[in-house]
Order: sequence, then structure tokens, then C-alpha cells
Amino acid sequence: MSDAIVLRQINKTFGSKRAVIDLDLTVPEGSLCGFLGPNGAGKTTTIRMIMSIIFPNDGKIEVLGRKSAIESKDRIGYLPEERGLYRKMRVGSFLAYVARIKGVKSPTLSHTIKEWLDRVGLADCYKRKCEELSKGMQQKIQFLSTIIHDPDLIILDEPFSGLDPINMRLLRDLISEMHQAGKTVIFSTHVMQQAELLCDRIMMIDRGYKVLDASLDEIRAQFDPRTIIVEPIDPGADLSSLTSLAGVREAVQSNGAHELTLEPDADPAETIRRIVGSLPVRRVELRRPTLEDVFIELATSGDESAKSREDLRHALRSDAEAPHA
Amino acid sequence: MRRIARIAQREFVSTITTKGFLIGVLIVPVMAVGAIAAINLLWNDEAPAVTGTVSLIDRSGVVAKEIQSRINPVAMAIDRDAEVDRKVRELADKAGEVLGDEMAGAAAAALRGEAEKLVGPASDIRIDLLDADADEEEAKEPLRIGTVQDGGQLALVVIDENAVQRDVDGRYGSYSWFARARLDDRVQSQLRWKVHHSIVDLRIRATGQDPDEVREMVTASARQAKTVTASGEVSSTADEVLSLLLPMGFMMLLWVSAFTGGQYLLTTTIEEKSSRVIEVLLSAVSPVQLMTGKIIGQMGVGLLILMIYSGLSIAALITFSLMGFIEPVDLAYLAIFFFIAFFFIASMMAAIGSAVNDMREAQSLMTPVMLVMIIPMLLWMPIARDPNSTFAVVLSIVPPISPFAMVVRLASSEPVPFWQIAISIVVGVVSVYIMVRLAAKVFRIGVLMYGKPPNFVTLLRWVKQA
Repeated sequence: MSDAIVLRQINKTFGSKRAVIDLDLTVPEGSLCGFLGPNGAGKTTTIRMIMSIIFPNDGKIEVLGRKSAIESKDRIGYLPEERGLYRKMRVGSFLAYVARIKGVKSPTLSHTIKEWLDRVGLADCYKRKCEELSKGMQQKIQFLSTIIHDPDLIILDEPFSGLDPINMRLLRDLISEMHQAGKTVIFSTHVMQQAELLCDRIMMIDRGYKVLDASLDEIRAQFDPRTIIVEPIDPGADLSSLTSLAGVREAVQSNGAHELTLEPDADPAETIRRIVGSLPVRRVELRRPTLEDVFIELATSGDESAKSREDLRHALRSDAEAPHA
Repeated sequence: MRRIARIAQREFVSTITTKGFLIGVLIVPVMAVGAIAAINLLWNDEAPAVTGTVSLIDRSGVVAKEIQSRINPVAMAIDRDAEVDRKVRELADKAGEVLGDEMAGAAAAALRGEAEKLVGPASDIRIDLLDADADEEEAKEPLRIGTVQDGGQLALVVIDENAVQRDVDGRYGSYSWFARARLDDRVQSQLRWKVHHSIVDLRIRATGQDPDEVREMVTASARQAKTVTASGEVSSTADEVLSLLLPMGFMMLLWVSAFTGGQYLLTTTIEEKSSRVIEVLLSAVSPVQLMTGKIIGQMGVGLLILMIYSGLSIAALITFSLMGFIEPVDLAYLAIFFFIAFFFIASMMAAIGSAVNDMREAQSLMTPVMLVMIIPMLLWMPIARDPNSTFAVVLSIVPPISPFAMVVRLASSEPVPFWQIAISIVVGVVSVYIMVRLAAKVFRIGVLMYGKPPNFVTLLRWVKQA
């Protein structure tokens, strides 16, 4: 299978700030790829470079087999992070306009637009002005403007931000559908849970550097579980003894349960046996690492302090919407 | 190309279908006509009524009586009634044109009331005759204190000894006039005319002739004064007015059409940028394509305005059979210079619009642009009066003023040498090419820049960077 996007040694600086550093990236055709990283990591800059809206200082970009996105713009659907509509334009004409400047020549375009509006529950909005719509409705129109010309490569910059749970699910379904239809989808997000639910491939960048680029399965295999969740039968039980067990580095209480972080060389199976032997438990679980854990692991590698990890975890969650399956 | 056309089409349609555009296009001529009409209506050349005295030192000893007979409340009331009668006739003539003569006759009573209102009450001014050898400086003193409204001394007239009789050298003298500060200029000229006539009439009578007879003798105004053109004849007054108005009309046409398009371009660019539509557009077209499409779209808007207004103007000229004043080739030149002016202004506006975040920031960059663009407004008069002066020739070659200066010259009375038109067009086209190139560089960087509003130095850096 060929690659939809290839980036080789991309560098981009704004003034003295290095936004993207020596970035290598490969997105295989047909994959559904999450592009992760905290705010300011360089996601939007990278996407804009892929779109040839801005240009790297050096490095090579290949999009859909062409030297730049300019040559294949019509086959790409792009939802910018900064979204906009023509406030005074009617929804139908706006979508038609976007489709036409992306080279759609079909005479049945208005029919296609109506079908899509129906699909996202905005069938009655065809003739309404964009400014009359609510923010969530506008966002759906923006998404439609991204895919209305039936692109092969879809790039979405923070598509979930600002959506309510129902629309979030709708959007997730639409993305999955595109993926199943064989299209390549990339979306950036700083909400790790979204990526975890949808993607088959994850790229992570942090402060301009790539920290991860692998399939979800590879990631799960690579980062073995290091956290055990313990919930005693008696909520008031004294658990101070757990921290002194061999192999346990620290214990943190959260939501009535206790998360035990293991020493790097500890054997999880052996530790669980010891926990069960020391007190009666309602639940003991070896937790699979979430992307959040992986990201924190990668972003703070070399920095062992628990405080900096917790700060980062907090930062990641503070502006992230909870996942709604 | 198809995409540029799409963008241009959208830009054009979405601009001309706004209420603001329709109102604007209609309002500008209505306001121009309204302003002229309002000035006519409000302009009153009747002297307001004042009360007071005019001091008179008559060194000749013969004029005082004559002046006293003209400047006194009774004489001035008679003058005022005559003025009312004249006004009534004038109004009746106007009403007759509109209503028909019989109805105008019926309306005469109403017209008198209207005329009296227009003329106002008569002034109550008397002459305060001083001694013939009174001191001039002393007599002036009361003028220095108090105000016109106090009803005291309004002015001082000093008649020369030889005002009516030639002196030993055979020369006539005249009079001196000293008025109080802020005495209405119309009252002053009314009074001075009376002094003037008093002296002149006495001189004529001294030679044994009748002043009214002499006045008739020295008057011979042209029965008709007309300018003959291919399409007919117009009065010379109209010709004089036209020879100034036509250049101004040409320039205003160019100015309004080029600027309206440019202004809209600025607004839509800022709107696209601040609503972030710009990135959606840039995922489909390149910045240069976007700018090109937008400029072409607004060119359509400018052309539409140019066609509407020049169509109306030509219709008006044909109605009054004044079409002969315009050479058809001038209209072609007007179109050429429209393109030069428009592309220059529009690319500048696109660059400014792309660089700023909102209209407020645009204002600071617009100020120097506007200062330059005001120049043709200030200079059309001297250029139209003297279209082949060195000053006019230079202005018509230096962009960005050249298109405006050149259409003023083209529409004025003296023909412009063809080589100057050619140079102006070539220089204009080159300046447009450079401006569009610079604007494209600024636009490419500007459209994705948010945050700190740029100044001209920043824009220059972007030009170098691109």
C-alpha cells in the first residue's frame, strides 16, 4: 500500500521559535490516524504545511503521490482549526461555493448537498443564512464543507472541539464511515480519549518533536501495564501497608480505588498475588495504558518527578471533554 | 481559471446584493443633488434689518442732503416694498411654470406673504450729520465700543471735499467708509451703494444731465450669449459651468467607482480573515488566486458603478443637448484610467485588508493612503483651469494620482497631446504591475497572520521575505 502523506526532515521556525523540528511522518493510504499533542505542540503548523498553506524552512513533503498539496488540493478535504463561514451566505450556496472552488462540476451538486444536510439533521437549513445557525450547527456545516467534494484524504484540525456529546458521536460515526469507505483520515486532537476510540494509528508530537508514530496495537504492546487498581471490600480499610509491598513505587487514591504504580523492574503478576494475600479486595485490575499515560510517559521521560507527571495529566484533562461512547 | 472566476463571481454577487450597496449607489447622487438644492434654498442675499445711525462728515458740503434722502427709515421702507414686489413677481413666474398662469394669479396673495418673509422687515437707519470739519479720528471712537445690537453708531462716512466737483488738479475725490465690527456685509454693501449713487448722481446732475438717462446710456448687456456645439447651443454661462463641472464629474466618477470597489475589497478581506473563512478558501485555492479572484470581482462592482453613473450623466447631457461637450474617445480613456486607478487602489486595499485583524486596525494603515487619494480632490480646479501647465502634466504622469489628474485634463477645454496620454497609461500600467506584485507578497503572508497589528515597516519586511 502506498502512503498518503510523507514528511521528511521538516523544519519550521517562526522568527526565533522552532515550531516543528526534524519531523519525519508517514501516513499510509486508508488509515485513520490521530495526530496528538498538547496545545502548542506544533499540530496545526504541521497540518498547514501538509496543506501548503505555509511552507517549511526545509524538508520534503509528499501528498497523495504529488510534490505538494497544491497539485492535489481537489482530492483533499481540510477542516481548519480556525473555522469560518460567510455569515451572510445561505447554507446551500456556501456549500455549493466551497464545492465549486474545489473543482466539483457535477450538475447534481445541490442534490448531494441536500442529502448531506439531511444526514446531519439540518435538512431544513438549506436556505437559511449561516449567521442564523447555532454554533454546533455551524460546526456541522463546516464539516460538510470539508467533505462535500468527496475527497480521498481528509484532514481535520481539532474536529471535536466545542461539540456536544450527541454531535460528537455523529461526527465519530461519519469519520468511521469515511474510513471504511477506504479514505485516509487524519485528525488532530489534544483529547487522547477521542483518538483512542477511533484511530488505528497514532502520531504524537510535543514541543515540535515527534515522540510517537505507530499503530495503536504496536503502542499497546510497547507500553506494558505498570498500574494496578485496587478496591478493598471495606472502603475504610487501612491501605498504608500496600505502599510497603515489594515492587510498588507509590499509591494514589482516586474515586474510592487505589492506583498503585509499579517499580520499573517489578513483575505485575507477583505483585497482584501479594496484594490479594494482604487484604480482601472487591476488585484488583492490571490497567491497560491509556494514550494519556503513554503521552505522559514519553513527554516526561527523563523527568521522574511525580509532580510534573500529575501537572501534565491535569493539563491534558482540563480542557478535554470526557469521552462519550 | 475556473476557480478565480468562481471567487470573482461570489465576490461580485455578494457585494451588489447587500442593502448597503443598493442604498449607497442610490444615495450618493441623491445627496449631491440635495446638497446643491439645499444651498440654493438656504442662500439669502437680503440684508437683515438693523437699527442705528450712520455718522456722516461731508467735507464737500453738497452730498449730505442726497445721502439723507436715501438713508432714512422711510426711504428704506420704500426700497423694501419694491424688493417685496420684485420677489412676488419672481415667485409668480416660478409658480406659473408649475401651476399655470391662472392658478398662479390666485396664489398671488399667498406669494406676497412668502415674499415678505423672504425679504424681512426694513432697516431703521438714520444719518447723524456731523460738522464738515469734524475730526475723523474722534468720530470713529464710538465704533470701537459696544455692539451692532446696541442700536448706536453703525458706521462713519467721510465724503471728500472734491467728491462732486473736480479739484484744481482736475481730479474727482470719493468717500471713506468705516464700519463697526461684525456689521453684516449685506447691510454694508446696501449702505455703500447708496453713498456711491448719491455721489455719482450729483456729479451727473452737475453736468446738466439726468442720472437715469446716463445709466441707460452706459448699459449694453448682450441679448444672448451662447456656445455653439455639434449637438446644439447652450448659454455661455452653462458652458463656463460645464467646462469646470465636466472635469470634476469625470474625476468624481473615477474616484467613486475605483474607491467603492477598493473599499469593499478591504471590508470583505477583513471579514474573511476575521471569520476565518480564509483558511477554508486557502485549502482550495492559492492566496494569489484568491486575491486575483477578489480583485476581479470588485472590479465588476466598480465597473457597474461607473456604468450606472456615467450612463445617468450621459442621459442627462443628452436631455439638455450637451452631448457635444464630450468626445466619445474620452469615455474610452475614462474606462482605461478606471482600470489603472482601480487595480492600483484595489491591490493596496487587499494588502492592507490581509494584514490587519479588524477595521479599526485598517484605519491606521489607511490614513496615509487616504491622504494621497485626497490630492486629486483638492487639485482638480487648478488642473481643470490650466490643463497643460507643467504642474498638471507632471501630476498626470505620477501614479497613483495620474489617472485622476489625466481624466480631469481630458475633460477640460484644451486638448491633451497624445504622447502624454500614452506615457500616463504606460506608467500607470507599470505601477499597477508593481503594486499587484507587492500586494500579492503581503497578502500571502498577511492572510494567516493574527495578533499584533502590522505597520508599514512590517509590511515591507513581508515583501522582502516573500
